[in-house]
Amino acid sequence: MTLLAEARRTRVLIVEDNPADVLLLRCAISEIDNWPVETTVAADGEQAIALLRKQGLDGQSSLPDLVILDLNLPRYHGAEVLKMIRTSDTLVKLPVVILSSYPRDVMLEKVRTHGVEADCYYTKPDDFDKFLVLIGQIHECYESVRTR
Amino acid sequence: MNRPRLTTLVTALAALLCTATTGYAQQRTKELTISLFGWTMHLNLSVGTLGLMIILILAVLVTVVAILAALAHHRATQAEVANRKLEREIGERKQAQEEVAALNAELRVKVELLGRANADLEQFAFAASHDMREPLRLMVSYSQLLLRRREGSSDPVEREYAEHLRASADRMRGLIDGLLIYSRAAHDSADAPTRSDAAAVAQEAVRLFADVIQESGATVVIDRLPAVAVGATPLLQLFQNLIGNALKYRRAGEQPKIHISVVEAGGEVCFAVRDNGIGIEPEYHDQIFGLFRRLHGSEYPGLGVGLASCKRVAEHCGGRIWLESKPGAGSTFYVALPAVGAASHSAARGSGA
Repeated sequence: MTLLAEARRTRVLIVEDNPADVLLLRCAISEIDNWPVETTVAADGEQAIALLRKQGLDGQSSLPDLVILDLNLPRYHGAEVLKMIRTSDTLVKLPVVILSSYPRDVMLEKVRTHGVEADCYYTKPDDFDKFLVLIGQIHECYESVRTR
Repeated sequence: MNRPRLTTLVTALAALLCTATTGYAQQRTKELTISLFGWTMHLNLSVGTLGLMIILILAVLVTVVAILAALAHHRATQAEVANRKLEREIGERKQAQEEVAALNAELRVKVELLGRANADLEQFAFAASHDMREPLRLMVSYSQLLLRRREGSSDPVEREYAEHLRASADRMRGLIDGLLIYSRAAHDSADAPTRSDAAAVAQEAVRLFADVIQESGATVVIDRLPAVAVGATPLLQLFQNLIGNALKYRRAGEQPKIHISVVEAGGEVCFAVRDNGIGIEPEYHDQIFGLFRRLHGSEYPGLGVGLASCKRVAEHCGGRIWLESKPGAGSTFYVALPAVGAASHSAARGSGA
């Protein structure tokens, strides 16, 4: 059972409207050896909310393990998606990482005006090498939330 | 004197003269005795003479009264004229005051509009540079991915193309970052509190270069510095850029020597950052404060943003910046900033020694 759980891939929902960013994330994730991940993508806030609601109804097992959430999204801002997650009984404990192009303080402000908090906040890196470092950080964040 | 009064007076005089003539014609005598303190005077007057005297006295009295009345009237007229003149002057002054007030209001509106336009422009530069960074970030990342894939490639041309792509995107990112720094320079100086301890800020700026200072064997001397009426963020930006330049543009084979001193005069604190570096030709002294203006190539890498930001920061804080320098003789950059307790942030007085 433990072995099975460890072998299981981490299911990550990427909420991101820019396909170039999605591909970069996937490329970077694929280069990390010690973190098997399978990704799903929601291209806007509305899609993300609909998907999570449906998965929530289907039961905890169909929910993703981690959400990587952009803020500047069409149809529902990322902060609104986060608020929906944090105010839903079935989704409230879902680990959420904000990944946006804003500096950290701007991200925090945008999220906090909606009265919610994400688990970690990262600014989209300037180059691919930093993207690789970022995936490591997201992994750490996910592990610390999971074992909390 | 007006006409009706004159006519009345003339009529009165004419009536009195008629009475006098009639009285004189009656010619009856009358003795008049006047006793005063034991002295007695006897006057033997005819009734006609008496009447005439009374009439004459009355006439004199009437004339005197008329003259007095005329005088009073004349004075009143004079006062009225003066009053009217005064009223006119007051009216003119009031009008002038109203015009000045209207002009002032117009000026206030224009200043406000200009301020808003300026803020909009800064906001635009800030937003534009932030948004321009986005596609660039992806260009850099994907050119990197291309390069990675091409590492094993036997085609050196493909690799070269990808490298040019990467280098250009990097350069563009540098320029946009520079623009961001430059537009932020004004934001930071506008929001900052208006007092800081220059000594602490200068030391903090020096600490930021600890590695370069150690590696180059530089000596940095900071005199006793006062507090200034400028926030710590803009002041740090000024010191950081000037110290950074002093360290960067050093003469080959010579240990950098930096001296930060101060002169206080006329409500201003003037900092001087002196170095023993390569110096600058006088004809470039104005140019070096322009955005993206650079005098050197890759031997002294940079964006051409530092001094432009310094000028912007200094002017936003109500100060100015200039330099004295000759090639080979080092440079001294001066930054004059408002002293604590001096008049609040005034408009910049332009640069120049």
